[in-house]
Amino acid sequence: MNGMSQLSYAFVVFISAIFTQNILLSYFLGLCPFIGVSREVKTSFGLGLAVIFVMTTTSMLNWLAYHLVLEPLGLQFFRFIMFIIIIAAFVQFVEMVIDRLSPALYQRLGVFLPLITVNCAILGASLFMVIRDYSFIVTVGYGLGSGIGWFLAIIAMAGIRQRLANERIPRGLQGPGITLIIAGLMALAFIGFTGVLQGS
Amino acid sequence: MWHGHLGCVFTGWKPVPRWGWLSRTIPKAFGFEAATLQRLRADELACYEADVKMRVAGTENKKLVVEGLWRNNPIFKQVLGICSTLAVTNIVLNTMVMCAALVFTLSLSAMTVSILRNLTPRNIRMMVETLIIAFYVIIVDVLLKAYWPEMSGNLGPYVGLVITNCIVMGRCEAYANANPPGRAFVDGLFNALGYSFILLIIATFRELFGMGTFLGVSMPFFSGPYWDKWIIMVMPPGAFFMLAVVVWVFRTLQAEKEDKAQ
Repeated sequence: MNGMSQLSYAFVVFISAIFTQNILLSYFLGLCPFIGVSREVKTSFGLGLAVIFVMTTTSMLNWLAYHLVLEPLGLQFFRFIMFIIIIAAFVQFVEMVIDRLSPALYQRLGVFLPLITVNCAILGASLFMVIRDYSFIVTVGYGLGSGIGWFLAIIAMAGIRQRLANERIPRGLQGPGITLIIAGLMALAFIGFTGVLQGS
Repeated sequence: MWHGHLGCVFTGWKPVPRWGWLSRTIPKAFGFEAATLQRLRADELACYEADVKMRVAGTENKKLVVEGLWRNNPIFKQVLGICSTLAVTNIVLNTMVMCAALVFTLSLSAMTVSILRNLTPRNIRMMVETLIIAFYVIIVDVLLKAYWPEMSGNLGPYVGLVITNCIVMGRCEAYANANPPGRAFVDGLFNALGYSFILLIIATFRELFGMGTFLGVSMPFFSGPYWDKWIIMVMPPGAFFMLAVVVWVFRTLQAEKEDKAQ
């Protein structure tokens, strides 16, 4: 494929990662923080931004590590360890940098960074990128799109849950139960976007 | 405080059964030395202690089993670690393979973490745990790719994602880190089994309602003309609804039991 069609393919992947193939609602990745941290819009906003940033950069770094280091050496099975180390090291590094440069930003974002290392969505995006054999540009689009998709989903969920705070919910459904039902309804709504991307 | 045969109320110490006067005189009559007698008594004491220890370990293990399977079940009580496995619950066979991978990884990595717990520096503990987990996941991944490539393709990235599954890390952090290897293994095993049986329930209903089959075999009523297949069950929203229903049912059951207990 030439450069232009790669770019347009990257754009299609970007849009479908946000809507039709949302990493949270159709691949169930990053569900733990989604259920645990989605009580307030403000916190979810911070966590969502951190996920967008980390997911985009680590999927780029992991693409480079996989195609420039592991593949020439024939060590593909080693990718799990490689990816998780890169993600952990990168998150640690970003945390230190933010802490030094901007305490205000650290207050908003930094507290969520350690949570992100164990977010399955981050590792999942890198593994999907390997399985689907994306090129570098497409990987950038995919990482960014998945991050934004996750961000949208958690913001929407937090907004709904804030409204739910005063409602009377059956005892067994309180907390995770009702959150899962809402997530299911959201997943249904996101499936409605499928018609948007006929050509992909 | 001393209560005779009841033992000490404060320390829980119980008296070792003694043979009394006969036990002292009869061996002497047959020519046993005092030292032999003392050793015999020491052996008896050691036996008794070992017995007590085993009984404690037994109840401890039993407690772990109940906690992992029911009282503190990772899914409906803690709602943890559903990320990497919920996705494969649309087909029972895939779920079974995934659960087997999880049981293997969780029990063995908990044991390994526990064996290495005194050698691991505190500040890099999480990283070491992750690497141990990744080690077992790689074994599963390589085996699946070699002997069952079709299943490996079906499961996609989800086998690898067991590494970031919150339960695996959670059990290593919460239990294996501070307990001996045997018990860590039991704890890991039964948490994984408690997790698996819920996932299998979900998968059974999803496959049955969505496709009218169980393990790929057509079921009498559900594949017939009277059952309109619920396609939504095998699609992603079905997984969310089914998990919500399971959490609801089990939490209600547990709450009723707790009410009765009070």
